[in-house]
Amino acid sequence: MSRLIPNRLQWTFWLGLLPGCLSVSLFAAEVDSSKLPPAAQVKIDFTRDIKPILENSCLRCHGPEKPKSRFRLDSREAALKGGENGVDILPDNSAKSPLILYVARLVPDMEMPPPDKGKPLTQEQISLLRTWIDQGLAWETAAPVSALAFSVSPTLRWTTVSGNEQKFREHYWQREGWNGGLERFDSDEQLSSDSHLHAAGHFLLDDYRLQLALEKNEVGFVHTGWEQYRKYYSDTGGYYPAFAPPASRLGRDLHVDTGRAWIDFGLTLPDWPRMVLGYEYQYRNGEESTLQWGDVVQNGIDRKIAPASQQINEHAHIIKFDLEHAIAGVRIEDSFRGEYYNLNTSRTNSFFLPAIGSTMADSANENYKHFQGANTFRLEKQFSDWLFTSGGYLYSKLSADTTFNVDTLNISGPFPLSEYHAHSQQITLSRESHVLNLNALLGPWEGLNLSGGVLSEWTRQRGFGNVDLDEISPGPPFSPIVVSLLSDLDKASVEESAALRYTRIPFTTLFAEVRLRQESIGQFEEEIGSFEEFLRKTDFSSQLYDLRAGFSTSPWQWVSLSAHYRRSDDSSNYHHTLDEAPIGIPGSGYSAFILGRDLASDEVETKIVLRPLRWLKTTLSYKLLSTDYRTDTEPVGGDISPGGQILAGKYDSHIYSLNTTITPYQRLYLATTFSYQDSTTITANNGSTAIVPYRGDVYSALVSGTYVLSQVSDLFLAYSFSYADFSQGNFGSATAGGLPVGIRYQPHGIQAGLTRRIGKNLITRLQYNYFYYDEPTSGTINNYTAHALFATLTYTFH
Amino acid sequence: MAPPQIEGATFVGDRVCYDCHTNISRVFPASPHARLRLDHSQMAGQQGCESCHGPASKHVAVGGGRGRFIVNPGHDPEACFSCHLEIQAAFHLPQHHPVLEGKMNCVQCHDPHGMDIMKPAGGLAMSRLNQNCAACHRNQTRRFIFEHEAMREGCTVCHDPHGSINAKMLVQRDSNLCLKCHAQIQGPGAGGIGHLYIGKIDHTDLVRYGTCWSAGCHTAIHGSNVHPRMLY
Repeated sequence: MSRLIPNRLQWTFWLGLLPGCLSVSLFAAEVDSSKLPPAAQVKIDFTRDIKPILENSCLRCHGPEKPKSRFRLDSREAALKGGENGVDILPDNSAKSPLILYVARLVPDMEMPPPDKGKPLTQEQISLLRTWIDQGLAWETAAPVSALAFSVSPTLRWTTVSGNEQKFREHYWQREGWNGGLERFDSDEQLSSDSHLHAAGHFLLDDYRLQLALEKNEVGFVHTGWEQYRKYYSDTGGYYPAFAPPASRLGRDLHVDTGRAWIDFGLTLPDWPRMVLGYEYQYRNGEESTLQWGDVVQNGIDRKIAPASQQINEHAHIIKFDLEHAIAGVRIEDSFRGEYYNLNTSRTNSFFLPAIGSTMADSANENYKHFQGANTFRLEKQFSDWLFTSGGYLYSKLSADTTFNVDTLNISGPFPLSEYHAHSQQITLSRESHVLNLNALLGPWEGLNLSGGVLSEWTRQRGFGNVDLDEISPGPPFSPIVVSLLSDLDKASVEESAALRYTRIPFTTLFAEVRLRQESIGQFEEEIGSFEEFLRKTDFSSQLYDLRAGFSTSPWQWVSLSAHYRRSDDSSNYHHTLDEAPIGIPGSGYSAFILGRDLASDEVETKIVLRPLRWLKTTLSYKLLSTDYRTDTEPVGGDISPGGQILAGKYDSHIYSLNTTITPYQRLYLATTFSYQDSTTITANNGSTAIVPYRGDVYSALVSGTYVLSQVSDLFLAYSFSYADFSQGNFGSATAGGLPVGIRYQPHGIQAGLTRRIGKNLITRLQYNYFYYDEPTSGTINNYTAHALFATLTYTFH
Repeated sequence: MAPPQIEGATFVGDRVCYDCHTNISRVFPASPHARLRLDHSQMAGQQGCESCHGPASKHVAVGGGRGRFIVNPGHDPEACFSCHLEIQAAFHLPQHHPVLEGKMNCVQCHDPHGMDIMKPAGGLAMSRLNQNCAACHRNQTRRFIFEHEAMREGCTVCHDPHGSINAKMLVQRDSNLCLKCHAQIQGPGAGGIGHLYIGKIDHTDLVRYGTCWSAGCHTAIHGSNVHPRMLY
């Protein structure tokens, strides 16, 4: 190799080594090596004599990952190379090797293992290490591990569905028919002692992932990859039992492909800041279902149950830069993100307008794009054993513009009587935020830990634009009036958190936490020129507190118990200093109807883990959640509403869960999880027959078991079940009742599989799946039964 | 808690983990998961890191390394499910984020070690409202000329992020979802029992068509750039 180095560089290279060699010699001369135990008079077997010492006392700090002083003891080459203090092992000369002097604790402040990191080596162990060095530092004699390790799992799958195949796809994120490809592949090639290439991923129908990583220790890395998966949507809408048919389907394959591709270049040079520069592209494309259902009219009854969908095309390009470094014990982080985002949506929904007896169609198209830049700078410092602090500052700026066109057309009935068109000119939004965060962690003192933080945010947002609006002209020509929109928002908020832990009670931890938030928003909204023009100026303020206290304990080997109580209250106040609709006439806008809100929640949760026998573990948990929603309202003229505070809604829920793991003997593993939840949501509905309380139960049961048939075969069986009943009966005539959107369903799933190992490198797996779904509250339109067969082969080489 | 098992490995205590995983370990006392950490526990594996990552003796013996004789709950939610039983059940409901399908994982939304469970990889820092959801759901969390004030209380006011029996993972599937906040209070001029006013507008017949968001009215429920009442 030296021939490749020019003479001048050779000198530089050897001179560079000189201080290290000199330091070893000078340092060794200062230590009295006569105090060393003598070398053992044996022939060293590395695996028998040395490897246990290294594993138990050295590799904790001097392994391949983040080695202390950059000294590694996981290979002969690395051990001889030494670390940042120079050479630590002199072959054939254990008495002068710093490693031996360190483990013999002859060098002050360099005792190895350090006092708090492990027990000192025995005299016998030091003797063995001396002999090992003196005999030439022999290493592992076992066959060397291959530089390449990989596994690949080709699979072939077949699924058949009878019934609503779209619903099946939505529930299980897969489609019926043939599927196949690579369920998983993983390859890791050791290119050299300090660099490797890793590739992993899977390739199945509509579900792909490939990630590559090239890494070299103390130099850098390149990480790149691409992934995409498909989300499926049901094509059914609502259900109205009095109609024939009571529900319908779009008959289209609704799905959205979601994906991202990325590449990151990282620099990890010693003593340099760790830097990563990257680019990421995220996207979503396809047609998704929406809950903007269209009309179905029968016998004079109009209910919005026709299924609907929208096209979505979303792209985000993100530039990333991260920097991390430590200077004088201060850890510095900086993270920049620049994002360009482009969104296009398009949808058409039909609806029936009873007033004119016509079916209308809404066609809405939107384009939105923004650029957002955000930078976070953060510092961390451990001041002492009991004080650790961090602080960060985030600045972000967003600039967005959007266009929105909606055309409501009369597509049936007599000559168009009413249409609505809104074509926006460019609408512009800007937003700027400053966020400051300070945190500290104190302790422990006598078993007490205290942590806390403050997060402050200042945000200013401006939005304005013009819309060409034509609300009444029947059909073409489009006769627009120009409507101006304006919206400003200035927000200031402070959030504080604190947590206390106390651990001095035997086998117990006590904790108490509090989170507070104060927020104020000045908001101005205006719409000029339309028939619904309005002007509103609101000073909003809110206060939140969230308290929690509880304990964890494990007083006996067979039990551990935890419990907490939590109380939160989020109180908001809307002070409307201006409320004009139309402009000039105060007090008639809807928004100004709400004067205040209060959400108060109570939560109790407890969990007990029992392990009465070595082979039996049971976890039981219970959670209670209760929330009251209170709203302050202003009076409405004409004796419509006297105003005042009202309990607008109330939510109560109880969740009971049970998990049991049983391993009665080595061949059998059984696990079951059962969960039951009942919940009720009631709102003040003033006797309306359209709205009924939303209440019901959800049961879930998951059971799985593995039985080892033989040394090469395992049997796997799993069963899942859930049942929910939130059904509602609020339907009737055109002027009574409403739309029963509650749900009752029960799915069953069974998986049975056999795994067989063939030789050292091959595993085969055959699996059968059964799925059944019944939803009486949609008639039978959502029901399905499915069977699936999976055959997978895994070949591993290393 | 019941720690995951690693064949042949024994517990070493989280002081050992601190040596290499310093940045994670030193903020852990501020983590919500530190509520469960016991200095001295009778039941094995209750003392911190190994409660979730499994006994670490073999991991230490080989000098560490990603995934080497250690459980990484970031890739496999089973360790999380051993405590969060109701969350495991929620992921089996018909509408759920695809964690069981392997397309997402718990640590994309949660930091199990840091001060704020809602700030992924946050360390000793606090999260901003809706920051997690915005990382993927840009369409819904973007800025609007006319915002829906409910967004100030967070996405979870209306959505259950783990799993739900309802489309779009809503916490309720009927108009009670909205009426919890958009309260009704009536006087003699409102038409008496059975009439439903929301604010200053008679919705008695409108609510018969369907829910507030599905009946073709408030279709732009996250916010609108053209309509203050979020009709479009």
